Parts: sequence; C-alpha cells; structure tokens
Amino acid sequence: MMISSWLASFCPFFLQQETQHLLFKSDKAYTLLIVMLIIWLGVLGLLFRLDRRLSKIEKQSGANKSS
Amino acid sequence: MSIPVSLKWAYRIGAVLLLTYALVAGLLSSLPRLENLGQTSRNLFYHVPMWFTMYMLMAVSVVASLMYLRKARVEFDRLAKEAATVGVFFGSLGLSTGIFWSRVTWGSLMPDSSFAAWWSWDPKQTLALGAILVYLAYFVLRSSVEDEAKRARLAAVYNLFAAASLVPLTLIIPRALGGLHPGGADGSPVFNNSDLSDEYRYIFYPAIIGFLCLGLWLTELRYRASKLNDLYLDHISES
Repeated sequence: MMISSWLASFCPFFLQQETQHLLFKSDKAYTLLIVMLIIWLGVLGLLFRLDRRLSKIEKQSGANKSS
Repeated sequence: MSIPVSLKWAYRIGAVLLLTYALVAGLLSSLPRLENLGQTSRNLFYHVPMWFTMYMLMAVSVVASLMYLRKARVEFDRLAKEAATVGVFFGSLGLSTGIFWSRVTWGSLMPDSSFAAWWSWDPKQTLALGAILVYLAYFVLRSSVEDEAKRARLAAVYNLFAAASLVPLTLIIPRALGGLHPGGADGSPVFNNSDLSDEYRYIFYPAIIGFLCLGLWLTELRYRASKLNDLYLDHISES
C-alpha cells in the first residue's frame, strides 16, 4: 500500500479503480512484485559489478591510452 | 571512442530508475481494459520496448558501420558488432515474449476459441523473424572471414543492407498486410494508437526510455570487454 500511494503522488491515473484491482484482491499478490524486484535488483547489482571489474582491468592494462 | 562520463551515468541512472518504475507501476497501476487482452495488456510495457531498443541499437550499429567505411578505424567495427549483438538479443526477447503473448490472446480471436498456437504465421511476426535472420547472417559473415580489415569492411557493407532491410520487413510491409498482430491502420505499423489511453502512456514511455538506456549500457559493457579481449590477444602474440 505504501508503494502504491507513493506512485499515486506522481502518476495521476494511479489507483483510480482500486477495488477492482488485480493485485489488491489478495495481499499475496505483492509477493509477485517483490520477487520480480529482487530479480531485477540482482541483475542490476551484477551489471554494476561487471562495470567496476571492467574499469579495474582497463586501468591495469592501460586500455584507455590506446584506441 | 570516448563517451562523456555524464552520458554514461545518464543511461545507467535512466535504466535503474525508469525500469524499476516500469516494473512497479506496470504491475500495480489500475488500467482500462481492452477486450481479449485482460491483464496481459500490461505486456505493452515490456514486449514493445524490446523492439524500440532493437531499432535504436541497429541504428547505432549502422552509423558505426558507415563511420568504419569512411575512417577504417577498428573501434567503429567493434561498436557496430556489439550494438548489433545486443540489438539481436533484444529482438529475440521481443519475438519470444510475442510468441508467448500471442498464444494466449490471439487464440481467443480464432473461430475456434480453443485454438491456441505458438506460431500463427502472422505477417508481422513472420517478417520480424525474417529481420532477425538477416542480422544472424551478419554474424555468420563475420565469423567466416579471417582477415580483420577485410572482415570489418565486408561486415560494414552487409550491415547497410541489413539495416535497410528492417524498413520494408518491419515497417512498410506490415502496414499493408492484415493479420493477427495489432496495428497497420492508424499511423503505426504495430499498434493501434487509438487503443492507447493516457494511463498506459504514463508507464509505456518511461519503459521505452528505460530499456533504451539498458540497451546502451549493455552495449558499452560488451564494447569494453571486446576491446580488452583484443588487447590481451595482442599482448600474448607479442610476447
């Protein structure tokens, strides 16, 4: 509920027909969102780590000096 | 090739914020419903941006190929290859999400409502597959030429053809033909603008930009890894 009211603050159409809503019929539906967020944030974490690792190797190999 | 640091951070932050928003809002917001689609109309936020991202990356790729033909610098060849790779990746995601989505929704449009096919030879779907195959041939061509300069030049010329073939295959012919996939009549080859209410646009547009940012980020990572790989190969061949 907190997420949805936060979203409603900048997305005006948000939650107009709240009672009919799929995810509000059951609290358990939030589990789906949480699972998807965990996966997405995990992928992002991996991307940022890969990014850092590449930067490190670039520094060590002097890759930025040549083209 | 140096990309400004501010731009690099712009698409990283864009991907994180916009895609997280698209994920949360795309699932939680209440949206007007369209016949046949049910809650699957939310796929608009995920399936359609795959294709936008593919188009952008193919555009990056073909511009890099043109630059290679003008300047013959290896970094342009590298960018053309990596952008096309990530572009084909997003195109394949668009195709497979479309296959899954169409099985559920197009089945209900068929005369026999119990009919649900994985592949219906819909013109748009089939031509999109054709476009991806044209790009797969780009990689086949690359891997079949040993000489680096020759490979880069041949690949660049072929890439002009591949990018040009996207226009009739996925933009012009789909407008003229019917089929099960939406779109064709009112301005867009692949969706009906009149069907799209503002509630959808509030999430759809940020989702597109978010996936574009993610595509650029992935391309940059692949580009850097490929450059390091070449540096390493040069290094071991010297020593």
